[in-house]
Amino acid sequence: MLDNKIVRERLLNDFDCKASQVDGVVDKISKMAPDIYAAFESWFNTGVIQEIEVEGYTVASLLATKKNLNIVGAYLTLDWLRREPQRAKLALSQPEIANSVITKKIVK
Amino acid sequence: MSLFGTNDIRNDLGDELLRRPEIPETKDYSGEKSFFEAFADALRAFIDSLREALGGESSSEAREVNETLAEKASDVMAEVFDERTLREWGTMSMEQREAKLSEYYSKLGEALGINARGVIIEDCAVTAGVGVLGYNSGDGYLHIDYRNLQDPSRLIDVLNTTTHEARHQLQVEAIADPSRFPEISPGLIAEWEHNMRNYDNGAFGYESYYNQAVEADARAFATDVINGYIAKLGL
Repeated sequence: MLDNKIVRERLLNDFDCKASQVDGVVDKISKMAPDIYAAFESWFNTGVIQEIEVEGYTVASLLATKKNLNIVGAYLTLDWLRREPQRAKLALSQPEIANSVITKKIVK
Repeated sequence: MSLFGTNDIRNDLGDELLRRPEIPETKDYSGEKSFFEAFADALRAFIDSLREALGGESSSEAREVNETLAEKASDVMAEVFDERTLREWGTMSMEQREAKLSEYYSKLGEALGINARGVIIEDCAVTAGVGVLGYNSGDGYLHIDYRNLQDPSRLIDVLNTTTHEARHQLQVEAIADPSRFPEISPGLIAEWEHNMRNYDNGAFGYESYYNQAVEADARAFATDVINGYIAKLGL
């Protein structure tokens, strides 16, 4: 099992995870299905992606089709596919509708 | 002496080039569905797939979707994309399709009370990323990928994307001035504002992006509008 503090630091330093978001991400990682977590841990420690297929998706296929997803997110998405396969597959199969409106400041 | 060096153009150009291409046999389309019928099937399948995945109409997607606004929007969709338009969509030019989409967005803007300035058809793969159907630039303009307009079978994606993005525009304008949208609860607007300030772009998992308030709301709204549209057209 990975040290969550080390995971947290790496998310903040290497993946530009927001401080407001990082603890939630660490929590999700710690709760991943055992086989997916093992694959994630292997990548985390070695840098080598150990592919695992869930509902027809792999880390590589997710990274190839979702432009904003990083590798941590790819493993978390595989876990989502394991927990809610029908919903996750629907979401992933839908074409992406980007929301650039969030880049604008909300002015009152 | 001709342009080609001899007076026999057939000799110069060759029989291969001059041979009249074979006209293909007429295809028998009897028994096949028209675009209109195929579109109706696709619309129903779209709604059914959402219901199946999301567990029916009372799913977590349908959080506080405003019925009055969805009803108005589906009226607009039925008015602009009426049966005649659906039947002609497959043979319309890009300019005609763009005009129809602009008409829909303009009237949708009036119905929702938002600043719907126009629709820009562009290559979203370049401007927003490969696979992106469209985006809202926050200034009243919606940007739709040209491929969706080019391929008549992607009309559903066009309608869904346009309606989805219009809802995002409404979210932004409601946050800026809630008094303009009394039918939307202050609690929901506050939730949108909180989400917009902490928007999840999906880097750390598609689940969190998909489930966040503004995206779930926009999806639910567009689904309800299309659902109403199907009922109004009797598809």
